[in-house]
Amino acid sequence: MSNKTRPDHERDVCAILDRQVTTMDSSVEDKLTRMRLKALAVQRPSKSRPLMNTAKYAPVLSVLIFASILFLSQEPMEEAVIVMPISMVLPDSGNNANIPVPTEDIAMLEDMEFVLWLASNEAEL
Amino acid sequence: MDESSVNKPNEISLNVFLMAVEKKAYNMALISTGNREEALDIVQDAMFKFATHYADKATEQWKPLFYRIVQNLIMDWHRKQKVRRIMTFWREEDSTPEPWLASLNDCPETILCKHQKSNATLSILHELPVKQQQCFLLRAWEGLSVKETARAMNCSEGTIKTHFSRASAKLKQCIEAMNE
Repeated sequence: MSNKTRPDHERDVCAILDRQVTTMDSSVEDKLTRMRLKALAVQRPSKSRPLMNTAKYAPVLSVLIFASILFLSQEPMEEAVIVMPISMVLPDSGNNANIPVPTEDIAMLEDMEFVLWLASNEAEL
Repeated sequence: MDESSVNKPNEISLNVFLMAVEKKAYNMALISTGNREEALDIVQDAMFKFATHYADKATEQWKPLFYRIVQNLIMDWHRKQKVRRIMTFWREEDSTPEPWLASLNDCPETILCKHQKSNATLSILHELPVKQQQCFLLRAWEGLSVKETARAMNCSEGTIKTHFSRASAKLKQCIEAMNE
C-alpha cells in the first residue's frame, strides 16, 4: 500500500509503530539477534540430513536391533538332522563296498513281491 | 556465536531476511499478546520453524510464509490463553502488562502528549480483534498485498478486505475521538 493513497490515521499509526521499532530496547534487540543466529545454526546442518537422521534415530535403531537379536535367539532351533554314519556315506567304506547292487535284482524282488501278493489274494478268495 | 559465523550464500540471505522482519514480527506479537516474553517466544519459534522447514523455498515466498508462521503462533497463543482463562477463572492475571497497556498518566509532563498519543494508539491496536489487528499490521505496516496477507492469514482475499476496513475504521474513529 503506497503512502500517497494511505489515509492520515493509518500513516500516523504506522509512524508510531516505526518509532517503536527504532527505539526498541537494546536487551530485546540482543535477544532477537541471538535467536536469529540460533535459527541459522539449526538450518545449517540440513544438507547432511541422512547422517543427522541416523544420529536422531540411533537409540530407536539400537533398541530394534537388540530386540531382534533377542527374538532370534529365543526362536526354537530346527531339529538337527541325524548324521549318517560315515561308513554309509563313503563309497569305499564297509565290507561290501566294492560290490555294486544290480538293478535287475531289485526288479526281480519287486516282481516276486507282486506274485506273492496275487497268490495270497487268490488263496483268500 | 557472532554474526561472522554466518557465511554461506543462502545463510547470508536468510540472515538478511530475518534481520529485516524480526523486529516487526516481534512488535506484531507484542501488540497482540501484550507481553514481552511471550512475544519473544513467538518470534523465536517462528524463526526456528522457518529456518528448519522453509529456508529452501524461493526467496520471494519467504515473507508471506514467515508471517504465516507468526500468525499461526499468535492464534495458537490466543487459543491457549482462552483455555487457560477458562481453566483458571478464579485466579487473577499475574503477568505485568506492557507500559503502553498500563496507565497512560504516568509519563513526564514534557513528553506526556506525544507519549500518551503513542501509547493510546498502541492500546487501541491491542484492543482490536486479533484478526483485524494482524490484518491491519500486515497490510498497512508491513506492506503486504491483499493476496499475500490472505496467504499469511490463511483466509480469503474478501475476508482480508473486510478485516482491514473494519480495523481502519475503528482506528480512525478512536484517533479522532482522542484528538478532540
